[in-house]
Amino acid sequence: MPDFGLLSPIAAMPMAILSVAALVALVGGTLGRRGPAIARISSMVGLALTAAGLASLWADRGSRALLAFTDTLVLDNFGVFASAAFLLGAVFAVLLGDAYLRDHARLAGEYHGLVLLATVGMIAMAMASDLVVAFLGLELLSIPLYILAGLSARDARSNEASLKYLLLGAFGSGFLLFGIALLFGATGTTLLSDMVGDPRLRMALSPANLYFAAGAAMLLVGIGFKAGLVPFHMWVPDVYQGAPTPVSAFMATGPKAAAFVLLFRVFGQAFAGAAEQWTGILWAMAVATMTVANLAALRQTELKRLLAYSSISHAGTILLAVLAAPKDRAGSAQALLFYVVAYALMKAGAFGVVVWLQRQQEGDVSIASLRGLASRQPGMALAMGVLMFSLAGVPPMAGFWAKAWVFSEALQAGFLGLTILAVINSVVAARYYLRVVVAMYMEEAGAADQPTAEPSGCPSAIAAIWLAAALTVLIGLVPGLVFVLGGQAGAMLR
Amino acid sequence: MLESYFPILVMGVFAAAVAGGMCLLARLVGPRHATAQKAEPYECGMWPVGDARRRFAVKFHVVAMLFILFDVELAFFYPWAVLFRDLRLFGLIEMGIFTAILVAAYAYVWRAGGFEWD
Repeated sequence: MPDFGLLSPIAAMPMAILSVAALVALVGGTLGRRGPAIARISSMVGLALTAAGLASLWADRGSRALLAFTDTLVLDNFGVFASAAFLLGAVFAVLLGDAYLRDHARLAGEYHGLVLLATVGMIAMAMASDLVVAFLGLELLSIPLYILAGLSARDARSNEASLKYLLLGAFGSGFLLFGIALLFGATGTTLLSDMVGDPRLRMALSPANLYFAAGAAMLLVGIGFKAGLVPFHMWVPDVYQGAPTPVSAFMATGPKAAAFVLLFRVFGQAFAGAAEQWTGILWAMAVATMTVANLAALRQTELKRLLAYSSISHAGTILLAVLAAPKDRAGSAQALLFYVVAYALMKAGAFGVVVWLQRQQEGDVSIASLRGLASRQPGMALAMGVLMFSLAGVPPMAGFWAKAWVFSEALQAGFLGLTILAVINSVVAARYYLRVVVAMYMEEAGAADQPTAEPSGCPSAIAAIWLAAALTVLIGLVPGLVFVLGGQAGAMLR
Repeated sequence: MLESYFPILVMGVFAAAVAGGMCLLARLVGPRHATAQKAEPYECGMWPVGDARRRFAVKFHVVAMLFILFDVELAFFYPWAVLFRDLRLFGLIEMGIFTAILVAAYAYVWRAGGFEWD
């Protein structure tokens, strides 16, 4: 009988709590009249308990990293911080979901259960010390998302989004798995901790090893798909646009962050020794991602597609932190974690505004429907303005600090040209963010853009928007708290 | 190192040769008299009625999906059955958790109407 000791249950505790809450929400949602309420309560209680569990796992462990479950899970502050960021995304998904579930109460159990299960997968990815466990987490994350994207069964675009995501996601997972197999061929193990710790294996992770080169490339394809990096980004606009908006909000915050956390663990941590091999590819991907996404976003009029392309361009910026990882692991981990938190807040808030807008009009929410919002709904316009400025990277919002630290990490690692290109891309991106602000504050609403219905109350969505905007400003004014916590998380990384 | 797999290759070639040879010989040497009645679809001795183009009920797909899920669960039970003595309490608890998760899924499908045929 394998003797795990006490560490393994402790390491698995957040995932276990959240899984139980997910199953309770899923089954409870079928219980007749009280089903939606049961689903909502169990998901909120589950998220709260998991957050408490994660907080209890935060500890100053010095330079040791604890490995659990026969070395497949790593218990370090980086994983705990990242998991907390994913929980934040899930909280926003639950808050924004109420607006959607008000009209589709039948689906409450499925929505909450699947969101929570996807979060369990993300936590598994964050705490993985083994490529197979990381893959398991990725699949556990992806499959509920495939279903969630198609939750509006009568909407053709939702079906299209779900099918596209499923097919392309399965393809990407296939590449990822093949890459893991090739890496196993190169090193003889799938444990990232062995790849980092064992000097013999580190020799195997050299550019000369063909198995390693092919495996790492395939791994990059698989993770790049999930993160929405160019040239694997084609699914992002269609899926974000077609899926129900709360689901898009969830997809924009958690899963993207999870993909980058995994990318950091694998490339920034395990493959750091072979950095000169994959740095070139990632450099090209970062530049391509930011450029293509920004150029495409400039031409978008529909708000969800705009936010989708904006997500892709932010993903390109986060890549800079991964590129800087071999030179300064702790600092780039800190920058990455801060960016992930700030980005989750901004995107959740922006999609929340779309949720709110969708309640008062039929059809697509375009920039045109935001015209004159400042005179109609000054509070909402202010919140959206704050979020747009933050996404553009304007101080004193959180987005500014996020970009500033990622850029400074890249500069310290010696990527001068890349940073200049990233800054140029930021300036270009500001154009489409500010276009939204201009539409709200400086344009008059045309007759066709009048809201067709009074915004019926969706208090949780409004609360979510204000929470996101307030936290964005707060973290922007006082970035120290998140930054210091992120620093402690980064320093623990083995 | 690969020589030990040679018998499998031989067997594969033989199987392909025998099966392919039978088809080839039938095509070359066999008689071919097509009649109208021979070309009709076989319907267990009855006269075929109408064409086969009907809408396929989606409930069959649900049955197939549920079968796959619970059959894979069954497949996971077999190794546990074999190693039951060696795994003892740990195995019992672990498989218990596994089964509990699948019972929750079962309860969900039941309540959501997945077992209703009509």
